Amino acid sequence: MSSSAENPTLTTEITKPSTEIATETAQSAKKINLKTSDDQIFEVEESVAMEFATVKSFFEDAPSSTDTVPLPNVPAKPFSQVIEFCKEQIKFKANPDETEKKKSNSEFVKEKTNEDLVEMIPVANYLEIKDLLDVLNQAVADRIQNRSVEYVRSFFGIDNDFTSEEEALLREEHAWAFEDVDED
Amino acid sequence: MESLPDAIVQCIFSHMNNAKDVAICNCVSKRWKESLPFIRSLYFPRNSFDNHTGIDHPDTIVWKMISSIVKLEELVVYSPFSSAGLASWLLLVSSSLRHLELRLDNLAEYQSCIESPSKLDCISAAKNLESLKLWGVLMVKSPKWDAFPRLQTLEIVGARLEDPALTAALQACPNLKNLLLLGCEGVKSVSIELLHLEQCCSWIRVRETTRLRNLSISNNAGRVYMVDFGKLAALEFLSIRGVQWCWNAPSSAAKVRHPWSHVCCSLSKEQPEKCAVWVCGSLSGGGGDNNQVAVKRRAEDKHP
Repeated sequence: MSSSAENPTLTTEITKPSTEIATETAQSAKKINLKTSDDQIFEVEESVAMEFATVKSFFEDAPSSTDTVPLPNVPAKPFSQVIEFCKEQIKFKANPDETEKKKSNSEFVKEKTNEDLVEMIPVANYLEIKDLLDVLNQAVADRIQNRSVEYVRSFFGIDNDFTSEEEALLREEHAWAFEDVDED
Repeated sequence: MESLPDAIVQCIFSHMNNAKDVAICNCVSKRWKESLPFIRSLYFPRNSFDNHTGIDHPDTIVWKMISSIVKLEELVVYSPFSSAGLASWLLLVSSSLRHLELRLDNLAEYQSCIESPSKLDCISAAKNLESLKLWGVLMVKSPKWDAFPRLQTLEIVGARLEDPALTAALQACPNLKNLLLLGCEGVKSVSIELLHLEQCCSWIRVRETTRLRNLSISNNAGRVYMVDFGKLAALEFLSIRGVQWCWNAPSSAAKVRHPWSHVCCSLSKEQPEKCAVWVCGSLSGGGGDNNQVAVKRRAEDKHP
């Protein structure tokens, strides 16, 4: 801090990036409307929408087609959380900092419920947001660590489609893994 | 919510390396079971079979898990196993396996070392390994290793070694880039074609080498009186760890001419100052731009 007086170039260095940010905001002011499967319309900044590979290719295929892009497989609730994630991600695009990015990602998943995470996975998959998909998959893998089969089923809302004989056989085969799992 | 696509289930599996969790997920549903063959990595923690009372031997359990996977790339086993078990696993995955980490824990068992083939010998089957990490190794006779042409990283932690055995082991790794020997006893003098590593009682000498990029030296018992480096043209990372370093003869270290980009030392509490002086002295002698010089004190040293 004391070195700023001795170093006159420091002031110019500070002003430079701030002008860049200003231009960037001006460019990204363009908004895109995205319609979810439950007919809600989200007005999203273009820079955020371009994070969704699916939306991006939609515009590449038909640059000036519609004002509103329909997202038939995407419900509003998880979608709003996906947008929240991508807004954060964009900050790191301009200013890459892996440690901060990791911290921000883990904060993001930490405050989400199991249901939130599981609902976001197909959305991230459909929109092809690879970073988010990785973050979510790691988060759910962490949360089902050392849990019972029943816990995993209810976590993901999966129906048991084994016959009782098949399941008994599988449980016998993997008996070692069922010893002392965490309580549900 | 409708069921997750297969690709996603496989992704979740790939983020889940503890074999126990993998086994449990295998029983969740048919779709999940069908995704199991596509995982890449398996990890058996130390206590995997501590409470195991079933009929299957742990070796067999690991074998069954491995046999259901199409292309296993990484295998980490910290739980106890036999050499016959290891041989049977590697037979299944020898071509796909890239990373292998084993807790051999045979330091005390001289018997297991002279048995043939030993656990070390068995590793030879995994020809495509890129990294090999071994814990608790007794290597008093040369392991029967043909060659690991792709092996770049070799880490041996906690070992009793004989010079010819280590020499032979390193000869089987012609393209080694990272070598880490931590807590290795018994090495007196080893010189190898590509990396000249010499440990003489309490004397460590590393001579000219063009291939060695990462070097970690550690001393846990006994004093090191002399550290002598030759010209290590390709060295990018140097880590010196230990509790009883003695920095009385650091002048020879000034021979290092190459600018190191990363130097890391961790030492006992009475020594950081001396070490810093030594590191800085030798680095300025090298004349490179050394941006990262970190002298860390080991956490455990704070609690004697």
